[in-house]
Amino acid sequence: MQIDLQHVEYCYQKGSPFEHMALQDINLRIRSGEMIAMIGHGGSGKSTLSLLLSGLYKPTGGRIDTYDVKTGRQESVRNIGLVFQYPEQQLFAETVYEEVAFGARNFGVPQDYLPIRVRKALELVGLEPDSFWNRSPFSLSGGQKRRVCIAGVLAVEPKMIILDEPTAGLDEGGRRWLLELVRQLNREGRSILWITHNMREAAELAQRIIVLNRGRILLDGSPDQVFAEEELLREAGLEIPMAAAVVRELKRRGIPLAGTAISVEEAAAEIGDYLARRDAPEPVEAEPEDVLQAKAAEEDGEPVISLESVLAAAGQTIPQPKEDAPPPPKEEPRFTPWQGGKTDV
Amino acid sequence: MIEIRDLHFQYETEQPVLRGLDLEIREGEWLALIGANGSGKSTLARQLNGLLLPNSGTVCVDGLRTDREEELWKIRSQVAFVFQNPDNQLIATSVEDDIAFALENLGFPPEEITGRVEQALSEMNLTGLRAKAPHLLSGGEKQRVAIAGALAMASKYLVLDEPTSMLDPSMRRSVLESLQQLHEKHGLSIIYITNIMEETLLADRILVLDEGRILRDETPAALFADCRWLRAKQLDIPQVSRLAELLLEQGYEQFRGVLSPETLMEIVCK
Amino acid sequence: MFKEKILLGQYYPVESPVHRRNAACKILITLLYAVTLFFVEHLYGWLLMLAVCVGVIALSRIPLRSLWRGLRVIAFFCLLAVVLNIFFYPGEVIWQWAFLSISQGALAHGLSIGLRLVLLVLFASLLTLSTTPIQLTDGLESLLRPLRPLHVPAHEIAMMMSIALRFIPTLMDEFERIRLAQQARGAVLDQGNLIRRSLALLPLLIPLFVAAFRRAEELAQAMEARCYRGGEGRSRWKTSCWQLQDSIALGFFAALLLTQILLRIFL
Repeated sequence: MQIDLQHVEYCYQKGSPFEHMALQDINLRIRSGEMIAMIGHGGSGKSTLSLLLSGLYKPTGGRIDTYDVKTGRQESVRNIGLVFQYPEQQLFAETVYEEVAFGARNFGVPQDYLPIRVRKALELVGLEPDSFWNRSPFSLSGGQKRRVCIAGVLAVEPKMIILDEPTAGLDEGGRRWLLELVRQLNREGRSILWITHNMREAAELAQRIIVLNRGRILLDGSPDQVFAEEELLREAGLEIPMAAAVVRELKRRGIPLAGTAISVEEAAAEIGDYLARRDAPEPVEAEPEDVLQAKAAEEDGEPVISLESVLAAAGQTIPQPKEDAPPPPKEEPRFTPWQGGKTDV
Repeated sequence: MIEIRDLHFQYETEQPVLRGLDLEIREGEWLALIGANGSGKSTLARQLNGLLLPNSGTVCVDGLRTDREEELWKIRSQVAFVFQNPDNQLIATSVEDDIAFALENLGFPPEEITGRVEQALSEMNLTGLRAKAPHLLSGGEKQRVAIAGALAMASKYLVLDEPTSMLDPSMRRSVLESLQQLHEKHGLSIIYITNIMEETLLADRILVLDEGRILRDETPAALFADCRWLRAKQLDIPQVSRLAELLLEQGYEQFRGVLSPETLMEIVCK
Repeated sequence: MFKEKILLGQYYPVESPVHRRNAACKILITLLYAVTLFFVEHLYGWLLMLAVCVGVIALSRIPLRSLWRGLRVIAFFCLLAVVLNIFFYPGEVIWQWAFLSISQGALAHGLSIGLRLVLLVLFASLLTLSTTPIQLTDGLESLLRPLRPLHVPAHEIAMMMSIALRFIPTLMDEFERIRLAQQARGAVLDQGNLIRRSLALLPLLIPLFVAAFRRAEELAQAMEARCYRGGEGRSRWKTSCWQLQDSIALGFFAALLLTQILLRIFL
């Protein structure tokens, strides 16, 4: 299933004095099986775009085509599941079964198949069907409620799942569980669109990052490509994760690093590599005159090898950290506990 | 000073939530409170201004006890509270009226209310929003209005229960900046509950709560030097500490105890 | 992000003598006018009421378009009331067609009913168009306060109204969010018979109620944390004062009522 957006725009309350253009000139193609993260600050249009993709809103300009690539036929929007932010707010049924079956039933899954779908969905989200079947959704913990909501979307067996800030309110354990679930769903062939304002999460998860700013697409590419555009991101009110920022800043200050690290581990590797090279003893080989001179000077009691002396001899200086260097980027949220419940399953 | 002695608390029919806590919070201190879900952080916070009362033990604020009704109301004017959900703590139909709410409750005369509201508006950069209705504000603005209300009350202590967890990064930054300014300018004592480890780096002390007990009470530098312990307790670590830890493991001792990316970069550049 | 709707679609902000009047005064005047409407009978009486209404509209500087909006809402009921009254007024039949008949005085009667409704709605609209919701709440509290010895909880009523006003837009947004979410799950709201449609509302109403209760609980905690103890010992930051013009206006409408009663007795 593929979705094409061409010059899509969405305007709230068109024609009224409260007209508000939420999205402008959106051009996008989402292919089968892609794992995409969408980032943007509040008000950038992320949620509106998710509503357009799922068919709940119709664009006020441009067109959206959702079709099967092989046959070219239109696909129904029930093939796109949408998990809203804080989905627990939709709970209403008397039993977990009813809650999970709701969507599937509405979309025409025959009565006989419903129990099978519900069972499968509950197992996928890690809730033992037999113990949770008959419980009231309101008696569950915060984390369990969220799992029920996700199960409700999974029971429809959509080809694509859009999740709007799905880890909001979850603690670290819950967050990791959800990331793994989504990876598994993607492995099974479903396209995933993960909407977040957490850059680090986006980098962890996605092969492709789309950055929205004020209703337009600012960037669309691999994490590497997106993180290279630090200036643009900062203008859009976003920042790359600390480790990635540090490595790129060091490179800007003249430290010979690759400067492509995205995760903390990669950053540690890059910096460690650099330090190892810097501190390694110089290989014995014919050296230029100026370096030899520097060496001679150092044998008078200064440290045997130092970057400063080598560069100084070569007529360069290490760029000193600026006095008023930009403050370190504040970190993105790592995990937040569910506000209502006390423990997470 | 806030003094807590042997505090025990449990909700009606459930497990004990707080098991014999002893704690002192001095004036002007910035205390961060962390712990897994269910560790009792929110419950402890609500003990500080008497929204919850101890089953046994005492909570004293500047000598006043929360379990004495007449003293409780004085305590509440000294210990302000900012909640996690920005929406459900704004009562009035405009920003300035909301800031004045607590002052009206305390019976201040109108002229004094006007003066305090003006000052709070200007310190929190909300003057332009003074007549705006709460439902038109962003999450960050709502939290700043709540903080402005505390400022107007001139309380000595400010308790914040995960105030930024429902906000996006830029709003989070603006709230934290406002808090820092208040802390420096007024010597406000801040008790800050969070699960975002980077926010704890602003604190003088970090308290780690686990199953209703205080496990550790240390400076950020001391606590985040022990990454292994934090991981074992399923707690997150600031990115910078993790990076320092990885470099330490590679044998680079110069990164021990590093708490800020700036410091880390300076060390690399040396 | 969901667009917020204008609260009550009413207050029209403009400087005018009517806008400046104390809210409690305006509420009393509206009540007086409403009561007066029921004493009006004679043609001169009607002309007087109409003149007063037109006069207040002119003073208020509120555009007719805004007033018309309020009327539009009741236009159907008004018409219905007029028609029913014309055709079912008892008395000597002067016109007949099939089963419809009009009696003597029916037309006049029907029209007077219609006019009463129109003037009533116009005046009520003037009240809400020239007074902000919060001013209305304060005005109501001022009026109810003298009744406190009779155990009328004036402060609590005003606080309830004020909180309702504060949260109506929030709850409307919440409802919109819930509606969209259930729609995404395939919920269909506008099909089937009455029973089906009512059941289809459950996925909307239950979450809304649950949310409202949770908000109420959190709000109560926040209010307590901010030293709220009810109306006792509470000061008011912004009070509206009662001016000479308010007394004059009130006096005028009291006189109007008296005049209409006298007109009715002597004409």
